[in-house]
Amino acid sequence: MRKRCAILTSFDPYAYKGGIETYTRQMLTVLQAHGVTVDIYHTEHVPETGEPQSSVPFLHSPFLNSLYRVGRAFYRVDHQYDFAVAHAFFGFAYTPPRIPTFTIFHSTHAQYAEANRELFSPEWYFEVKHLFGLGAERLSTIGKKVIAVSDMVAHEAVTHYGATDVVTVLTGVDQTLFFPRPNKHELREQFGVPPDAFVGVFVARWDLDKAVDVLEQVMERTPEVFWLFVLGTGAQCPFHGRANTKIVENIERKEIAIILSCADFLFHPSRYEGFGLAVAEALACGLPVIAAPVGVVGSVLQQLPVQSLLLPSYATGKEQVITAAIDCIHRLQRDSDLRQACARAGPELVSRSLNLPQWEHTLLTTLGLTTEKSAEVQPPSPKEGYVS
Amino acid sequence: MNIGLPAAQRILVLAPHPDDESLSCGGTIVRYIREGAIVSLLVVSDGAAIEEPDGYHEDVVVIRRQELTAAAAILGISQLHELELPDGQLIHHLGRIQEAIRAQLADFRPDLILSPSPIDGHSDHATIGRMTLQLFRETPGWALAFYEGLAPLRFNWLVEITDVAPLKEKAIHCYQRSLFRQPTLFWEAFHALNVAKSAFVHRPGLFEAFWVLHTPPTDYEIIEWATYGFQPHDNGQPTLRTVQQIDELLFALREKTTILTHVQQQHDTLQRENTELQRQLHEQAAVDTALRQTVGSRTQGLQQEHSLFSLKFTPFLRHHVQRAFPIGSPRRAVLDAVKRRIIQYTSKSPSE
Repeated sequence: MRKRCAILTSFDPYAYKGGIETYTRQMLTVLQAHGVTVDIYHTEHVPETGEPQSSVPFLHSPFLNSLYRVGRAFYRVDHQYDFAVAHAFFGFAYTPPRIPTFTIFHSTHAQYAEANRELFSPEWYFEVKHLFGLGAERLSTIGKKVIAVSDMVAHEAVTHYGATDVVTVLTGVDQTLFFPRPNKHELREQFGVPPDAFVGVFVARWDLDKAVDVLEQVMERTPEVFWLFVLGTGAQCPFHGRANTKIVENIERKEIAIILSCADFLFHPSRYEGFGLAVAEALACGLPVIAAPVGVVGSVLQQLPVQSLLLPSYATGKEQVITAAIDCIHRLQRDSDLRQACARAGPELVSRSLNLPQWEHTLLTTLGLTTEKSAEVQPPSPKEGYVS
Repeated sequence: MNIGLPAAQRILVLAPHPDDESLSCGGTIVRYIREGAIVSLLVVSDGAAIEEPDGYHEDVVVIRRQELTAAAAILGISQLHELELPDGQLIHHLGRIQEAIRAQLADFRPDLILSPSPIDGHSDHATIGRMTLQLFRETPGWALAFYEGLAPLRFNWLVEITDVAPLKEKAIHCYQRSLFRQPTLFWEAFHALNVAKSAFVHRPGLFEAFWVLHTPPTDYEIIEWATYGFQPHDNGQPTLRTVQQIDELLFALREKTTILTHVQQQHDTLQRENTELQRQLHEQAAVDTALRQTVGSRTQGLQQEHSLFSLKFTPFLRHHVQRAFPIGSPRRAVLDAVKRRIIQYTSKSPSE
């Protein structure tokens, strides 16, 4: 008999292009491939209960109240499912869970608020840390199994929320899309990037929490670098039309993979990441990564011989981070051996620890859909131009 | 445990079907009417889904309506409203039901609503109960009393109907077709329910039972009430309450911030207006000074001219005035009155 699963999330995964939506689509594919029937519920698709819906909000926060409606409505229909999977605090109001329920933490809002406390208002901090984090996210750990996307997030779930049932399932990189491409010059021509330039790429939202303030200062002090910005939705980047800069926005994942292959390094100074998919995808493309030690970088990248490109923690001060970043860029620019070492080590690391089949298998095992050991999973076959 | 009529003057009774008002709270309705209260009855369904031993009859809706009218007359109900929605399918007509109850709330303005319980076993009853509960949460300002169906309800209020029971029995007996041509059976069943409550008060009598609420309960409070506190253990409840409290705090903080911002804006506006006013006053003062100087020199000139004129023409004028206005004449009296009025408005004496 087919198992039935409900996914509780915030937005329609087919209408939005965020990280959680991408993850949801990938998970849906995996579950369906294993014979599981999946229903996705979100703020615009609340489970049908056949009961009158109260127009009096339980919470003042419209977003959280929408999620509350999803959770409470799901409580009425949970008997129709074998298990449920929720992202972050999006399923917080499904309590007490009466079927096996998994909460996937892509980050913790409690730590995210701490990491960015200096940048935003006290009101922002209070909302993110206490309402989303210590309130809704903590509730999402009670009676539910927590799946953390990195060891760092797992540790945060335990320390901030007192989560007791936590397992790390490292997110996988789709190596059929993200792999080293040897034809860099052709790709540069395709995207209008100068063939001989030393190119840095930044893949994130243009927001302070992604440390765009650090990026701006590094840009000022490395005028010889050509910068590629791959931006998601969010605040406007002020560098439209600037010399030595190219901006691409809201593009498909396949194009991101190609743009990464145009560059000489990824600059990822983000102050907080739960996983840091952009870093993993750049590694898969054989790109050297200059990054702050957060997310997957914190737990996995330090195993690499290229850890000299890791930036110091922001706790040491912003100026230290900027100076170290500039130093890393200059070293990469003049040291072709270092670049080649990175080009070899990154894809190997991804094949070994961050590949999609590995993620798929670990996830299915965690969800109780397979009993095999995850260590047996084979990495994908190398693509054309794959550097091993 | 409360015994007696819950205080109310305007009572709205919600009956999912024709007969529910008589079976569940017929005695209470009679008692309220005898006490001088006004009772309005809203019957929601048409009663067409009744199963009769010899099959469906097309006239059942008409007959049930006639039975309802007769029963309502016996109970003394003067305001009767019928929605005639499909019997057994009320869950699909939530909008119409809500609209009708809202209209009653607006027009009749009840201070008490008698409704079936939201945890009644009959889906039509539960639908009305849940809808009423929702409206109770949205538009408070009245009391809500859930009445019993055939299945006993946990109650907190008993209304003694011993004296009026014959009228209830008579009303129930109006419902021949509605009660499967066995109204006596139903009277006895509800009579037994009403008698059973006497054990709670340790004296013989008939009592209709209600769960009376003056403030809207949460879903959890309803479950807690109905199950005498038994609930699946939910460790998440305290944290959910914490979420609600944090949300409340944040809302209050934002409201305060909005008010403060508004006050600050008003303060800034007032300050700007004040500065502008000061500037205008300074300008006006400068204009005043210049005017005074001009007027001052002009007044001096006029005074000199006046003095010259007085010297030359005062004796001449005085002579002619005395001739024109002889002392003691009415004309002189008028002149003196005018002079007095002039003195009132000027500091100068008439002779000047």
